[in-house]
Amino acid sequence: MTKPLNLVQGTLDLLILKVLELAPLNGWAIGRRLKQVSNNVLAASDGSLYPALHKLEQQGWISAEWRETENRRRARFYTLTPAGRRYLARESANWSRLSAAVTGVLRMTEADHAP
Amino acid sequence: MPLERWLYAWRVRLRLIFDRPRADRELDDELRHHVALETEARRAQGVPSAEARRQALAALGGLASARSRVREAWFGAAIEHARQDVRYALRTLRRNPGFATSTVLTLTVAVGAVTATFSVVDAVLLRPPPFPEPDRLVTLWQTDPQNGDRPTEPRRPTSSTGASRRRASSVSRPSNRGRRT
Repeated sequence: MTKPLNLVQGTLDLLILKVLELAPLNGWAIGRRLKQVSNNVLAASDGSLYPALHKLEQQGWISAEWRETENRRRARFYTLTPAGRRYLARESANWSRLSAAVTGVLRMTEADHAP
Repeated sequence: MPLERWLYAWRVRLRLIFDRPRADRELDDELRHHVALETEARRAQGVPSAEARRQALAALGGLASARSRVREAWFGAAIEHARQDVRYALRTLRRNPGFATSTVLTLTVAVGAVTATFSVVDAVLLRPPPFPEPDRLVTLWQTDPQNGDRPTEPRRPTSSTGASRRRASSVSRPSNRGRRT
């Protein structure tokens, strides 16, 4: 098994928002979902997950509330706010442009250098 | 920043400022809950209880460290927001100098007027007069029947009373405005 990649600075925020787009989740479940959907390629360390969540909450992209879980425990659930939804749409468009551009440069071949 | 998001962000911030103990307590609950869930998940994979909990804590980097990292995020985000708000305000004012000038003038006059009014109200109504038992203060005057019962100045004790005319004296208590000293 290959080691999980370190996340590029700032992408964790985007990934968290994306995971929350489908359903409100608690912190632990967000981390777990992130590993699942990326086949363990992307892994946020649990220690960096919570600072990121609290920062996103302060920025108004996500909101938090205490709810009861299935096994009757109180957990802090995070929900994407309408503003967060718009921000996610904008930022994922930016990410697509950026990664397409970087991929293009990395696939550059001899032929591209020819005048 | 759209208003709705701005209001939300401020609600979170105000809670952090004014109800910090609760925020700290809730953060603690949240992290402990995470450790409990992670321990359970590892135990479900066959890791013995104690070891599962150790691994869960290690993955988080320890409770104390996780807690302080989140607090740093609170603080950092708050400073960043304050900076953005100030910059936004300055930019808006610069873009619209006429509005900025009239706003500053309005505020200047308003603050000045309120301060002046309060100084007067404070001295006249709120502060007790500068002598003991102000509630025993009375106003004295006399009325003169030959002069249509109009109130006249009380005579000074030193001057002669003349006594040829009867004078009715009235005493009234002013309303008790001063606090007892």
